[in-house]
Parts: sequence; C-alpha cells; structure tokens
Amino acid sequence: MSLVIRNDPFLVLSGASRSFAAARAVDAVSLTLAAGSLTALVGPSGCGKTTLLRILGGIEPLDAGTLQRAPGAFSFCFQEPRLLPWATVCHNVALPLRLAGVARAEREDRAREALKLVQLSDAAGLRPHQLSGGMKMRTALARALVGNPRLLLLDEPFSALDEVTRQELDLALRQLWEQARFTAVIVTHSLPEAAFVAERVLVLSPRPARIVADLATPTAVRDRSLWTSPELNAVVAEASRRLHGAIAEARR
Amino acid sequence: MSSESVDRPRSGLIDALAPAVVVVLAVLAWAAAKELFGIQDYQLPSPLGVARAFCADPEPFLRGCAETAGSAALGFVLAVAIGVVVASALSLSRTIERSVYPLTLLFQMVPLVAIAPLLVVWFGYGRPAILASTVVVAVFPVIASTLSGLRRTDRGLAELFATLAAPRFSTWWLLALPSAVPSIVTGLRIAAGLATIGTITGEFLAGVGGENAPLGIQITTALKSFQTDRVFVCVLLAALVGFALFFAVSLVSRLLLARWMQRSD
Repeated sequence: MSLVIRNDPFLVLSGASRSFAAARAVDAVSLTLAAGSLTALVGPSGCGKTTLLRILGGIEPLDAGTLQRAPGAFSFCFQEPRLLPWATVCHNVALPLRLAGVARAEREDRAREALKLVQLSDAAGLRPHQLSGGMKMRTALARALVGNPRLLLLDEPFSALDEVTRQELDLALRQLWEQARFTAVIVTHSLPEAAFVAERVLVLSPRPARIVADLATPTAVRDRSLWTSPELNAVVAEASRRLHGAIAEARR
Repeated sequence: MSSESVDRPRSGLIDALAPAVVVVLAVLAWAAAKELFGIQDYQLPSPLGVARAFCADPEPFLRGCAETAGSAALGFVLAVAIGVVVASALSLSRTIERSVYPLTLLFQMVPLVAIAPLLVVWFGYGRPAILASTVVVAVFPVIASTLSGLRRTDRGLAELFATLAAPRFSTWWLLALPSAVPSIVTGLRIAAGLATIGTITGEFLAGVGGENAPLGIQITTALKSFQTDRVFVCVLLAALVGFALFFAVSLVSRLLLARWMQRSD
C-alpha cells in the first residue's frame, strides 16, 4: 500500500440527503474526508449512521446532493464477520481477490499477508466455527484489507465483542491504519472507541442524521494507557455533551 | 458421568441390533404364517424356499442385480445433474420460477406407469428408456430441494457479495450453491430412495431379457411361470439395491455436510 499525501481531499460529500418511504435518514450532510484520514461517525441508535456510511461507499443512492470520490477500490467491514462457513479462513480472506479474478497462488499469498497483518497467520487453515468472536472479526478485517482498498468503511465492526477483545481490535485497527494510511470511516456507538481509533470524530444528530460536531482526537501514539488518559476523556466528554445536546434539541 | 459412559455403548449396541432383530422376527412370522395357514408355494414361498432359489443358481440374480444397480445409480446421477441445473435456471428470476415450476410439479403428479410407455416410444427398449424412467421419478425432489436451498441464501453474505461487485455466476457458484448444499442433500436422500422404484418400473416396460436381464425383467419372467420364490429373490435384491444407494448417498452427504453443519458459534 502506498503512502498517500495527507489533507488531499479523498472524498467530498455535498448536501447529501436520503429518505426511506416517508422517513428521512440523512439530511443535507456535507463533509470532506482527507486522503489517508481515519474518521469516526457516532450518534444515537437509528440516526442514519449506517446509511451515511453506505452513501460514502457509493452503494446507497442519493435523493439529493453529490458525492465526489477519488478513484480506487473500497471495501466494507460489516457489524457481523459474514464469513463463508464452509471455507477456510484463508479462502474467506482471499474471496475479494477470487471475485476479482486474481490467480490462485497470488491470492493465497496475499491472503496470508493480510492474515499476518491481523495476527492470524496460524489460523489460515481453520474454518469459521473453530474461531472465537475476536478471531472472526480479525478475519473479516483481513478480508477487507486484502485488496489494498483506498477506502475502508467499517460499520460497528467490534460492537458484538467483549470489552477486552474490542479494545485489542481497536488498537490493531489503529496500528494497521498507521502503517498503511488508507482512508477509513468507522461507525460506532462507543464514544471512547471513536476517540481512541479515529483522528476525527463526527457527532451525528438523531434521525435524520446531521453533523452536529466535528472533533479532533488526541495525536498521541495509541497504546492501552490512552484509554484512561485525560486527553481522550476530554474528547469523549465533549462528544457526549454535543450528542446529548442534539438529542435534547430533537425532543423539543 | 459414569452412568453416561456405560449407557452410551449399550444404547449403540441396541441401536445396531434392533433392526436385525426385527428382520429375524419378520422372517419367523412369515414362515409361521405360511405353515399356519397352509399357503401354497406359488402364492407365498417359505423363507427357506426363497434362499434355496437364490443359492441354486445365484449368477443370473447377481448379474441382474448389478444391471439394475447400474441403471439406478446412473439414473440417480443424471437426475441430480439435471435437477440442480433446472433449479438453478429457475432461481435466476421469480418470473421464470413462477412460469416453469408449476409445469415441473404437474410432471411429477402424472403417475410413472402412465408416462413409461411413452418413454419406450421415445427411447426404445433397453437402458435409455430405463434411465429416463429413473430420472423422471428422481428429478423432482432434487429440483424442489435445490430451489428451496438457493432461495435461502444468507442475506448478509449476499450483501457482502454485492459490495464486492461479484459477477452473477460467481455469486451462484461461490455462495448460492454451497449455501444450498444442506437442502440439496435432503433432496438427494429422497431421490436415492425413488431412483430404484423408477428403475424397476422402467425395466418392467422397457427392459430387455437375455444373459444380463435386469431384476425388473426377471420378476416379470418368473411371474409368468409362477416361480414366486424367484420373484421374492428379485424383490429382495431390488430392495437391497435401493438400500445400498440410499446408504451410499447418506454416507457421502454426511461427509459433505461435515463442513456445513458446524456453523454455530
């Protein structure tokens, strides 16, 4: 993966709106993502975070507004690992390459490289039912990274995991991003997770989703101690204040 | 804990022995009924008489058995291939499925004995008509189960394939068909049981006599000369063919399903 120059806009979304039946899910959202940035979207349940993520990936059509994106592959990491139960971990990771017509030897080599990135080299020959929840998500992450995507979209990828595993995977994701500098957007319910993983946190209002705050996270190198640091807690407190403010306003 | 470990082998032994005991009891009841009611040999031969008929000259029976087993197995394989292809074609669109599926259902509803003479007209006497008869009977469960399996592809995985911009054939080959395997296997088991019925029926109408006369022909020949003991030998061998095919399919299915059944977290 090549290093990209930061601050070049990778994606520009202008006045994006999307409705389902009579309900508006996303309302006139505008945002710019710099190339190689890692952004978190946080907001109350059902506010339209996933819809906005799908819009960024270009898989959700817009009712109004425009999306401009630099060329290049994107990949999606879902809330559930979504692994083929009959295929080995290696074959699951290699799936995007197989669908892209990459030769078997090359795709298996690249799948093993991706598994190494997520520290799952030893599990290449296992099947999904032999994996823990954390290992399954690592496999899904490896599958999302195997095609060297320019844009990685993650939809609450670690929300079903226990706290310890989740923190481990948050750190792994952050370190992978620091190494590869792909552009990434992660949707999460957890404010600490958003502040820990991302370099920028966008707080969304209750449905329809609008951006109510754009916060920078600490620039410190990520390690376990950061979870309890005052810098991280300050971002979490500010995000929480803005989130509750938006909810209160929506109720009025 | 200790009672569990003692109970398990005992229950396994009972499971294995119970069918054998039932078979022995059935044979004893058969022999007793014949003696008790004084039934003539041409109406109901004794179990010993049937065994004697087989042992006196087993070769024609075994050759016939091999012939019937070959037709049943080949017809079964053809039915599976045709069934999976037809179901996959039907699954391409709801409109095609709604238009064509009732026709396949109607085809299944027509009794085989009504279609079989037509198969002789179309395919002539001999193996092609027998295979056609086997396929006609065995293909429907394969179509129905495959179609049902193809329709039950996991939505999350389907969305994954869509985001990966998977071509339609790749989605069918790498996702829909493997997802349908557990359902297909159910259809295969039913088809395996039906295949022998289709083969014997086909042999009744289209079988050719001679050195390798299949069991269906041997049954009709023996009936004409009231050699009921030979009929019984053929019927038992035909049942054995059906059982062997069912057992082989079940075994292969079990091995195949080992990958699919361990999906729970």
